[in-house]
Amino acid sequence: MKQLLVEKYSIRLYGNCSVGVKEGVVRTALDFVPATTILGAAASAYLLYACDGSALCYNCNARCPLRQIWDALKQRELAISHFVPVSQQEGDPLKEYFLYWFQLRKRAPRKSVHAHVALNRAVKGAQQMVKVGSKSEAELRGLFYGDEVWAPPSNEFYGFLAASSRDTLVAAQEVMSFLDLAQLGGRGKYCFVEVTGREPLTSVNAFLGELSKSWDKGSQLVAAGGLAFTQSEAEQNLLRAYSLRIRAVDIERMVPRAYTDSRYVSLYELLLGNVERIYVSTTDPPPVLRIDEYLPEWSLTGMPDLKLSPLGWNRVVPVNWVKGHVQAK
Amino acid sequence: MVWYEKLGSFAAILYELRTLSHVRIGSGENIKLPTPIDNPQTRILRLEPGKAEGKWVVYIPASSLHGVLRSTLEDYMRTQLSPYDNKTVKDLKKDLENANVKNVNVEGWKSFLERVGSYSESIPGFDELPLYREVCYTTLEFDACQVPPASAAKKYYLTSIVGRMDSNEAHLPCFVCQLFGATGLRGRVRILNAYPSKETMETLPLDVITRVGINRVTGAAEEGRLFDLEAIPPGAAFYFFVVINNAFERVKLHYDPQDSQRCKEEERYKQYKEGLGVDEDLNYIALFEKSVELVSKGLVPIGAHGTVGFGNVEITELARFETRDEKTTREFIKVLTKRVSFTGNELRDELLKINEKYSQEGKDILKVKSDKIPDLDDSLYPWLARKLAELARSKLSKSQQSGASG
Repeated sequence: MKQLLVEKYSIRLYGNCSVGVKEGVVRTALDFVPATTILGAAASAYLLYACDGSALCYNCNARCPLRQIWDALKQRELAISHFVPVSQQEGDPLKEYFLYWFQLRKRAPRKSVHAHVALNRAVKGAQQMVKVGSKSEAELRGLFYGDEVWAPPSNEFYGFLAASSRDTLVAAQEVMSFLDLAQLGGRGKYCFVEVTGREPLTSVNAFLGELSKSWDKGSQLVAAGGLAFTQSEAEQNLLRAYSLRIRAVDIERMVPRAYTDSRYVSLYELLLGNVERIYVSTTDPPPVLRIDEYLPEWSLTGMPDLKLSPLGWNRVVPVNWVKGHVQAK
Repeated sequence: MVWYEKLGSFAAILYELRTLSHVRIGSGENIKLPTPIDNPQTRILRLEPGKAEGKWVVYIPASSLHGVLRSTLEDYMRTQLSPYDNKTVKDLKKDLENANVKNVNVEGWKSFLERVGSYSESIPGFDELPLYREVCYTTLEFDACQVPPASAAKKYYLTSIVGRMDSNEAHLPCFVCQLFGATGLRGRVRILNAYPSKETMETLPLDVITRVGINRVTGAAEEGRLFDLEAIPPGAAFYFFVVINNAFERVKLHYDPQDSQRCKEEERYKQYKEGLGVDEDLNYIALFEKSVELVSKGLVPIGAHGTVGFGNVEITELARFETRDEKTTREFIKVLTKRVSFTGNELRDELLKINEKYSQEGKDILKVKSDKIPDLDDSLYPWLARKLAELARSKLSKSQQSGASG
């Protein structure tokens, strides 16, 4: 990216909302809203509420705002960050955003668990567990399960869009305006989204300058929001990473395939093609890296060459910068 | 199967739910709520803007509302419609034993049959359970709609044995799943938790009811069986908000070879309409409203202890936004998506303008059904619900003013 136009988006969630992973019969909530969830929710609402194309989205040649942002993501002309809980502290939103990842134990979202039980339609009582053969916990979820959801004040989140051109930013704004009507997250039918603010950021250059000063060649970097890379990237040993615990995510199982005759699209399929596995590092503790080269704008766009960078991952900042601020706090 | 991928109609409705008896939605035993009661009523934390401290607000979870509306509609349809080919589980077992289906191996059949048989112990008279095309048993795994079906055996069951298929022989979910969703299929209905009004939010009292188990032999209180529970008292008002996408689209009928004959499909729609007691057309909003009506008549209790007088409620529609055709819907949505760039009262004015335009054509977008519209709390209701309430109040006051001046 040559020149960066950065906009801050704030959202508030209403109802029981969460994005998480199933662990046994409980869907746990993450400490952030992944960029892919934000983008997917907005895109899905755009397709439902505004798309006029008659062709399937994969094959459609219309120059709609959605297609424009797909292309921009692929070309790395657009990047979206994960969304984190709104900080109660005043200060530069960019700084606060990056510091969030290093203060998770203090600032992680407040959560509560909602237990559900299905009523057996045949006997009108609570559904009993019926375990057949090797029936897995995942299958039992439909009968008795819990949802960890974000509780106030952690129902307000914010994040950033960074674009390299005004046209791309306008297209992204158009698609993001549908976030207001979108279903978001695992219990989307009980969750309503409200975009509470959209504002251009003027402090970007000052922030990047600060990062630049904090890095000397060979010093350590730390990934805010985690690392994610695909199988081939992992095999290339591209990252000489340590203190890194990696969780492998089988994308085939994680992302429901869009119907072949559907206009809905899979972000992963669009951006990554036929990738079999994605590796996601944990965010707590944040992974520390030693890389020979570093550009401060990677904090907004993610590390170059990694396919998942435009989708909120692989944002690195110098360890010295973090130390300075966390200690100061 | 082409699902609802374009929005052709839309409804956003604000309802009032008033308790007619005690209502109890438990929070579970391991949830930390600020109450010493054994079985606490569920609450949500509501914060003052800009503060980290808040107050606990009693509410009725959206999942409870969704569940009761869904299961009521299921029950109603099973009451009003006939089983598919008068089939019961016993017939199903016979059908499966004689089935000769490609792509299903011996293990696949064995596993499916085992799953069907696993319910014999937990459901008395399981073999006599009737099976329907238009409504599935969502909690019986073998019968629950699923897109796509998990196995070839299940697909065969769903399409060939209970007839839930489209003209391409793909599985088309039952009417209820088409509305509320199924595994792999997003529903059309979105529901928000029901909260008390702004005025009663902090003052709504909860009854604490103490109960004890009676020893059937001695007739005395059984030791260790004393417990108390919290419940919402009768007369409390809650408000919830519902959005239904493609609300006015007709329910998709399952494939019938005779449909290719002229008017046969229309005849089936007519039969369903009569059978289900639907006034307008057999569309998704009609099914949803039928379900609301049944709950509101006290036929189905909400929450726990329904067999001992708890859970009776009355549900009244207060106001709605509705668009019935694609053109109106698109125009309406276009205004909504400009919300962030509007300032002051611009959104309200734009919505009033578009409503005015279409009301002249007899297609009102804003419909107000009650003369008491509450002021909704900013921290609990999303902007669309708040805007609906605000516009409904403004319409009411206008009509009251014009009535007074007239």
